[in-house]
Amino acid sequence: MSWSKPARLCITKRFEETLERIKTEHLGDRRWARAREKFEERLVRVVEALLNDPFAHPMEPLPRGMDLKEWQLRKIRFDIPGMNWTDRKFRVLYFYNPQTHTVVLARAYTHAEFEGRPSDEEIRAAYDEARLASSS
Amino acid sequence: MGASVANLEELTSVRTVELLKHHTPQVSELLEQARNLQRLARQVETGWGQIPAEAKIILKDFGYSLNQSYLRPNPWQMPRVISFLIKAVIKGEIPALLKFGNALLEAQEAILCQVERENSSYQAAVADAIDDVVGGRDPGREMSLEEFRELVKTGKALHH
Repeated sequence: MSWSKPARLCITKRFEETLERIKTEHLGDRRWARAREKFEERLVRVVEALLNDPFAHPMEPLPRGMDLKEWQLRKIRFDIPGMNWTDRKFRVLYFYNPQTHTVVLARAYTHAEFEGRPSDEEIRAAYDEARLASSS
Repeated sequence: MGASVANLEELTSVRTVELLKHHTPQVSELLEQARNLQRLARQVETGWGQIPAEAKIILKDFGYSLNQSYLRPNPWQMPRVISFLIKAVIKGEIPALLKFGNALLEAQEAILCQVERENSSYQAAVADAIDDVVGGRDPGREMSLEEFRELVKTGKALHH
Protein backbone atom coordinates (compact mmCIF):
# COMPACT_ATOMS: atom_id res chain seq x y z
CA MET A 1 0.00 0.00 0.00
CA SER A 2 1.46 3.38 -0.99
CA TRP A 3 0.47 6.72 0.50
CA SER A 4 0.88 10.14 -1.08
CA LYS A 5 0.71 12.08 2.20
CA PRO A 6 2.96 11.92 5.30
CA ALA A 7 2.12 9.34 7.95
CA ARG A 8 0.18 10.23 11.10
CA LEU A 9 2.51 10.77 14.08
CA CYS A 10 1.76 9.45 17.57
CA ILE A 11 3.94 9.61 20.68
CA THR A 12 3.74 7.32 23.70
CA LYS A 13 4.26 8.50 27.25
CA ARG A 14 7.24 6.12 27.45
CA PHE A 15 8.89 7.85 24.49
CA GLU A 16 8.42 11.26 26.11
CA GLU A 17 9.86 10.02 29.39
CA THR A 18 12.85 8.21 27.91
CA LEU A 19 13.70 11.11 25.60
CA GLU A 20 13.49 13.57 28.47
CA ARG A 21 15.68 11.32 30.62
CA ILE A 22 18.38 11.13 27.93
CA LYS A 23 18.34 14.89 27.47
CA THR A 24 18.47 15.56 31.21
CA GLU A 25 21.14 12.98 32.03
CA HIS A 26 23.45 13.58 29.10
CA LEU A 27 22.71 17.02 27.71
CA GLY A 28 21.25 18.84 30.71
CA ASP A 29 24.40 20.76 31.63
CA ARG A 30 24.68 24.30 30.29
CA ARG A 31 27.99 23.49 28.54
CA TRP A 32 26.12 20.99 26.36
CA ALA A 33 23.60 23.59 25.15
CA ARG A 34 24.92 23.64 21.58
CA ALA A 35 25.08 19.84 21.33
CA ARG A 36 21.56 19.63 22.76
CA GLU A 37 20.27 22.09 20.18
CA LYS A 38 21.91 20.13 17.34
CA PHE A 39 20.50 16.88 18.66
CA GLU A 40 16.97 18.32 18.89
CA GLU A 41 17.16 19.71 15.36
CA ARG A 42 18.43 16.39 14.03
CA LEU A 43 15.71 14.38 15.78
CA VAL A 44 12.98 16.58 14.32
CA ARG A 45 14.52 16.32 10.83
CA VAL A 46 14.79 12.53 11.10
CA VAL A 47 11.16 12.21 12.25
CA GLU A 48 9.96 14.53 9.48
CA ALA A 49 11.74 12.30 6.93
CA LEU A 50 10.37 9.23 8.67
CA LEU A 51 6.77 10.42 8.21
CA ASN A 52 7.42 10.65 4.48
CA ASP A 53 9.11 7.24 4.35
CA PRO A 54 8.19 5.03 7.35
CA PHE A 55 10.08 2.08 5.81
CA ALA A 56 13.39 3.97 5.77
CA HIS A 57 14.76 2.41 8.95
CA PRO A 58 15.51 -1.28 9.54
CA MET A 59 13.02 -3.74 11.03
CA GLU A 60 13.77 -4.90 14.54
CA PRO A 61 13.51 -8.65 15.36
CA LEU A 62 10.80 -9.49 17.88
CA PRO A 63 11.23 -11.26 21.20
CA ARG A 64 10.14 -14.90 20.88
CA GLY A 65 6.37 -15.41 20.98
CA MET A 66 5.50 -11.76 20.34
CA ASP A 67 2.86 -10.97 17.73
CA LEU A 68 2.61 -7.50 16.22
CA LYS A 69 -0.62 -8.04 14.27
CA GLU A 70 -0.64 -5.42 11.50
CA TRP A 71 2.23 -3.39 13.02
CA GLN A 72 5.93 -3.35 12.15
CA LEU A 73 8.66 -2.62 14.69
CA ARG A 74 11.56 -0.56 13.33
CA LYS A 75 14.49 1.36 14.75
CA ILE A 76 15.94 4.82 14.10
CA ARG A 77 19.69 5.12 14.76
CA PHE A 78 21.91 8.20 14.79
CA ASP A 79 24.70 9.76 16.83
CA ILE A 80 24.19 12.54 19.37
CA PRO A 81 26.92 15.15 18.91
CA GLY A 82 29.41 15.73 21.71
CA MET A 83 28.60 12.78 23.95
CA ASN A 84 30.71 9.84 25.09
CA TRP A 85 30.86 7.10 22.53
CA THR A 86 28.28 4.55 23.67
CA ASP A 87 26.03 7.29 25.07
CA ARG A 88 26.19 8.94 21.66
CA LYS A 89 24.57 5.96 19.89
CA PHE A 90 20.97 7.16 20.02
CA ARG A 91 18.04 4.95 19.02
CA VAL A 92 14.25 5.23 18.80
CA LEU A 93 12.01 2.18 18.63
CA TYR A 94 8.96 2.97 16.51
CA PHE A 95 5.96 1.10 15.19
CA TYR A 96 4.44 1.56 11.78
CA ASN A 97 0.99 0.44 10.74
CA PRO A 98 0.83 0.37 6.90
CA GLN A 99 -2.96 -0.02 6.95
CA THR A 100 -3.61 3.20 8.86
CA HIS A 101 -0.34 4.88 7.79
CA THR A 102 0.49 5.63 11.43
CA VAL A 103 3.91 5.96 13.02
CA VAL A 104 4.15 5.59 16.81
CA LEU A 105 7.39 6.63 18.52
CA ALA A 106 7.55 4.15 21.40
CA ARG A 107 10.87 4.43 23.24
CA ALA A 108 14.18 6.30 23.08
CA TYR A 109 17.47 4.94 24.40
CA THR A 110 21.21 5.03 23.92
CA HIS A 111 23.42 2.01 23.32
CA ALA A 112 25.02 2.51 26.75
CA GLU A 113 21.73 1.47 28.36
CA PHE A 114 21.97 -2.03 26.88
CA GLU A 115 25.65 -2.40 26.06
CA GLY A 116 27.70 -5.56 26.34
CA ARG A 117 31.04 -3.90 26.13
CA PRO A 118 34.14 -6.02 26.87
CA SER A 119 36.56 -4.44 29.38
CA ASP A 120 39.31 -2.13 28.08
CA GLU A 121 41.85 -4.83 29.02
CA GLU A 122 40.01 -7.46 26.94
CA ILE A 123 39.82 -5.16 23.94
CA ARG A 124 43.47 -4.18 24.25
CA ALA A 125 44.54 -7.82 24.63
CA ALA A 126 42.52 -8.86 21.58
CA TYR A 127 44.01 -6.01 19.55
CA ASP A 128 47.60 -6.78 20.60
CA GLU A 129 47.13 -10.50 19.97
CA ALA A 130 45.72 -9.95 16.51
CA ARG A 131 48.48 -7.46 15.64
CA LEU A 132 51.16 -9.92 16.73
CA ALA A 133 49.54 -12.68 14.71
CA SER A 134 49.40 -10.50 11.62
CA SER A 135 53.04 -9.43 11.85
CA SER A 136 54.46 -12.91 12.42
CA MET B 1 28.20 -17.65 7.88
CA GLY B 2 30.80 -17.23 5.15
CA ALA B 3 33.67 -15.86 7.24
CA SER B 4 35.80 -18.09 9.45
CA VAL B 5 37.15 -16.91 12.79
CA ALA B 6 40.58 -16.35 11.21
CA ASN B 7 39.00 -14.31 8.44
CA LEU B 8 37.18 -12.20 10.96
CA GLU B 9 40.44 -11.42 12.77
CA GLU B 10 41.94 -10.39 9.48
CA LEU B 11 38.89 -8.34 8.61
CA THR B 12 38.36 -6.55 11.89
CA SER B 13 40.86 -6.10 14.69
CA VAL B 14 44.00 -5.61 12.67
CA ARG B 15 43.37 -4.99 9.04
CA THR B 16 41.03 -2.05 9.28
CA VAL B 17 42.99 -0.26 11.95
CA GLU B 18 46.41 -0.88 10.46
CA LEU B 19 45.10 0.25 7.13
CA LEU B 20 44.60 3.74 8.48
CA LYS B 21 47.25 3.96 11.14
CA HIS B 22 50.47 2.39 10.00
CA HIS B 23 50.73 3.00 6.32
CA THR B 24 49.20 5.05 3.57
CA PRO B 25 46.44 2.95 2.04
CA GLN B 26 45.83 2.68 -1.67
CA VAL B 27 42.39 3.46 -3.02
CA SER B 28 42.02 -0.14 -4.16
CA GLU B 29 42.72 -1.34 -0.59
CA LEU B 30 40.13 1.03 0.85
CA LEU B 31 37.51 -0.06 -1.65
CA GLU B 32 38.25 -3.73 -1.10
CA GLN B 33 38.05 -3.32 2.66
CA ALA B 34 34.81 -1.32 2.29
CA ARG B 35 33.31 -4.25 0.37
CA ASN B 36 34.53 -6.68 3.05
CA LEU B 37 33.01 -4.56 5.80
CA GLN B 38 29.68 -4.28 3.97
CA ARG B 39 29.64 -8.05 3.59
CA LEU B 40 30.45 -8.42 7.27
CA ALA B 41 27.58 -6.06 8.23
CA ARG B 42 25.14 -8.15 6.19
CA GLN B 43 26.38 -11.37 7.80
CA VAL B 44 26.03 -9.87 11.26
CA GLU B 45 22.53 -8.59 10.53
CA THR B 46 21.16 -11.74 8.97
CA GLY B 47 23.19 -14.58 10.44
CA TRP B 48 24.18 -13.58 14.00
CA GLY B 49 22.64 -16.74 15.42
CA GLN B 50 24.91 -18.92 13.28
CA ILE B 51 28.15 -17.11 14.17
CA PRO B 52 30.34 -19.16 16.56
CA ALA B 53 30.77 -17.77 20.10
CA GLU B 54 34.51 -17.20 19.54
CA ALA B 55 33.83 -15.17 16.43
CA LYS B 56 31.21 -13.10 18.26
CA ILE B 57 33.84 -12.11 20.83
CA ILE B 58 36.12 -10.91 18.04
CA LEU B 59 33.29 -8.95 16.47
CA LYS B 60 32.32 -7.31 19.77
CA ASP B 61 35.95 -6.37 20.44
CA PHE B 62 36.05 -4.82 17.00
CA GLY B 63 32.77 -2.94 17.48
CA TYR B 64 33.89 -1.42 20.76
CA SER B 65 37.57 -0.97 19.91
CA LEU B 66 36.88 1.73 17.35
CA ASN B 67 36.51 4.23 20.16
CA GLN B 68 39.75 3.33 21.90
CA SER B 69 42.23 6.19 22.09
CA TYR B 70 45.19 3.94 21.22
CA LEU B 71 43.66 3.31 17.80
CA ARG B 72 43.62 6.99 16.94
CA PRO B 73 46.61 8.56 15.21
CA ASN B 74 49.21 9.97 17.61
CA PRO B 75 49.98 13.69 17.38
CA TRP B 76 53.25 12.96 15.56
CA GLN B 77 51.34 10.87 13.01
CA MET B 78 48.98 13.72 12.22
CA PRO B 79 51.18 15.39 9.56
CA ARG B 80 51.16 12.10 7.64
CA VAL B 81 47.40 11.77 8.05
CA ILE B 82 46.86 15.36 6.88
CA SER B 83 49.24 14.84 3.96
CA PHE B 84 47.32 11.70 3.03
CA LEU B 85 44.01 13.58 3.13
CA ILE B 86 45.37 16.42 0.98
CA LYS B 87 46.65 13.92 -1.60
CA ALA B 88 43.31 12.14 -1.50
CA VAL B 89 41.53 15.42 -2.29
CA ILE B 90 43.93 16.26 -5.12
CA LYS B 91 43.71 12.77 -6.63
CA GLY B 92 39.93 12.61 -6.26
CA GLU B 93 40.08 9.72 -3.78
CA ILE B 94 37.75 11.18 -1.18
CA PRO B 95 34.76 9.08 -2.38
CA ALA B 96 36.80 5.90 -1.66
CA LEU B 97 37.64 7.19 1.82
CA LEU B 98 34.01 8.05 2.51
CA LYS B 99 32.90 4.66 1.26
CA PHE B 100 35.38 3.00 3.59
CA GLY B 101 34.30 5.19 6.55
CA ASN B 102 30.61 4.52 5.94
CA ALA B 103 31.21 0.78 5.62
CA LEU B 104 33.13 0.85 8.89
CA LEU B 105 30.24 2.57 10.68
CA GLU B 106 27.72 0.24 9.06
CA ALA B 107 29.59 -2.84 10.32
CA GLN B 108 29.99 -1.32 13.76
CA GLU B 109 26.29 -0.44 14.04
CA ALA B 110 25.28 -3.94 12.96
CA ILE B 111 27.45 -5.44 15.70
CA LEU B 112 26.27 -3.04 18.41
CA CYS B 113 22.62 -3.69 17.54
CA GLN B 114 23.20 -7.44 17.95
CA VAL B 115 24.88 -6.78 21.30
CA GLU B 116 21.78 -4.86 22.40
CA ARG B 117 19.48 -7.68 21.32
CA GLU B 118 21.44 -10.17 23.44
CA ASN B 119 20.76 -8.06 26.53
CA SER B 120 17.74 -9.34 28.50
CA SER B 121 16.91 -5.79 29.65
CA TYR B 122 16.63 -4.77 26.00
CA GLN B 123 14.31 -7.70 25.29
CA ALA B 124 12.16 -6.57 28.23
CA ALA B 125 12.15 -2.99 26.93
CA VAL B 126 11.00 -4.15 23.49
CA ALA B 127 8.30 -6.32 25.07
CA ASP B 128 7.10 -3.29 27.09
CA ALA B 129 6.98 -1.16 23.94
CA ILE B 130 4.93 -3.84 22.18
CA ASP B 131 2.54 -4.06 25.12
CA ASP B 132 2.16 -0.28 25.03
CA VAL B 133 1.43 0.16 21.35
CA VAL B 134 0.14 -3.16 20.02
CA GLY B 135 -1.43 -4.28 23.31
CA GLY B 136 -3.18 -0.93 23.68
CA ARG B 137 -1.70 0.01 27.08
CA ASP B 138 -0.40 3.33 25.65
CA PRO B 139 -1.17 3.57 21.94
CA GLY B 140 0.23 7.10 21.84
CA ARG B 141 -1.38 10.44 21.30
CA GLU B 142 -1.43 12.07 17.91
CA MET B 143 0.50 15.25 17.30
CA SER B 144 1.60 17.43 14.41
CA LEU B 145 5.24 17.83 13.46
CA GLU B 146 5.16 21.33 14.96
CA GLU B 147 3.86 19.96 18.25
CA PHE B 148 6.57 17.31 18.13
CA ARG B 149 9.22 19.99 17.54
CA GLU B 150 7.93 21.84 20.60
CA LEU B 151 7.94 18.66 22.66
CA VAL B 152 11.53 17.87 21.69
CA LYS B 153 12.73 21.38 22.47
CA THR B 154 10.87 22.01 25.71
CA GLY B 155 9.58 18.67 26.98
CA LYS B 156 6.42 20.70 27.56
CA ALA B 157 3.98 17.99 26.64
CA LEU B 158 5.24 15.96 29.59
CA HIS B 159 3.62 18.41 31.93
CA HIS B 160 0.22 18.72 30.29
